[in-house]
Amino acid sequence: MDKRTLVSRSDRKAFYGVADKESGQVTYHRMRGFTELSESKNPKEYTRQYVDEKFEQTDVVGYSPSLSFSFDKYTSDAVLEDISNIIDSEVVDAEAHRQIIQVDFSTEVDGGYAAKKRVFSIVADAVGNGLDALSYSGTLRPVGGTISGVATINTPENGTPETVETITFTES
Amino acid sequence: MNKFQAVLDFINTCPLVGYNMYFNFVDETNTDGNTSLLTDGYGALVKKYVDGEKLKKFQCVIRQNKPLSRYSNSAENVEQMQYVQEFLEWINEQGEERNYPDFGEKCVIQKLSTPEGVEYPMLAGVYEGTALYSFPFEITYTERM
Repeated sequence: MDKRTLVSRSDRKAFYGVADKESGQVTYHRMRGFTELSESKNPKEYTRQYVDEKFEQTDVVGYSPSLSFSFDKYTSDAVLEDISNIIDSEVVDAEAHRQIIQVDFSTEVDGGYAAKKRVFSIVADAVGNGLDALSYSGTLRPVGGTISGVATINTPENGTPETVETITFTES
Repeated sequence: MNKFQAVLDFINTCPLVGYNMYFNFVDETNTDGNTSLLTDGYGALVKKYVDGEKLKKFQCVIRQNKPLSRYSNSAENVEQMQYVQEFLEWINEQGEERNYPDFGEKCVIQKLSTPEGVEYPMLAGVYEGTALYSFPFEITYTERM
């Protein structure tokens, strides 16, 4: 039986799709510099009590998930430059949609790691809330459903879950 | 990468180091302008990022022995203090020019300076014929797992 070990927060890493300006090819870069990237599921509940029963019953009929984020701006970081440009330029509509892949490096599957891809809309909240570093905050709200798949480390060569820079996503 | 050696090598490039450079040792009686690099505390974790990367501080103290005059209105003590002040300013100039020690591949240095609010050295001790001046500085860096 495998030993029971604690899964740390950093075992689940998020990767952000940045499109090349010339070719349009999307590369999924590790989201670094984030002090917060927490998900709220916001379930939608249907609660009722039937006339022949003394109790209420509840079903979850949907979800309205969101990812709260906050990051310190670093230079030479494609992800942070893209998000900060969306926020600073007040980009709207589909131009503010980005693909994000959450990879669980504690779960190995089919030669890679369990991953889920989803398109999110970047909803800005605040810029510059602090004196130590230029920070950005906001919420990522889903535009579509979740696609499950397998993530493999693309760079660096022979990279590990600690050193991973970019990944390749294959839909299951 | 041995960060202690990296910082020691870096400080040794300062033209104001003096005759002797010590690491974690202070020779209080020597008046020949010794410089001591002392580690200060355990190092501070500034913040931890969601993906596991950490922002840390490497904290040190510089101590310098300088000749001490016991005569009133002595310009010599002021002059010696000014030498140490120039050393402090050298540290901050290196930070502004992004001239940093090498902490290895896993680390990227973000800032080198004296702590906020530290603009002058302090008199750390007075011995026969010797004054000991001191000031802290810190190196802020990101470190990958």
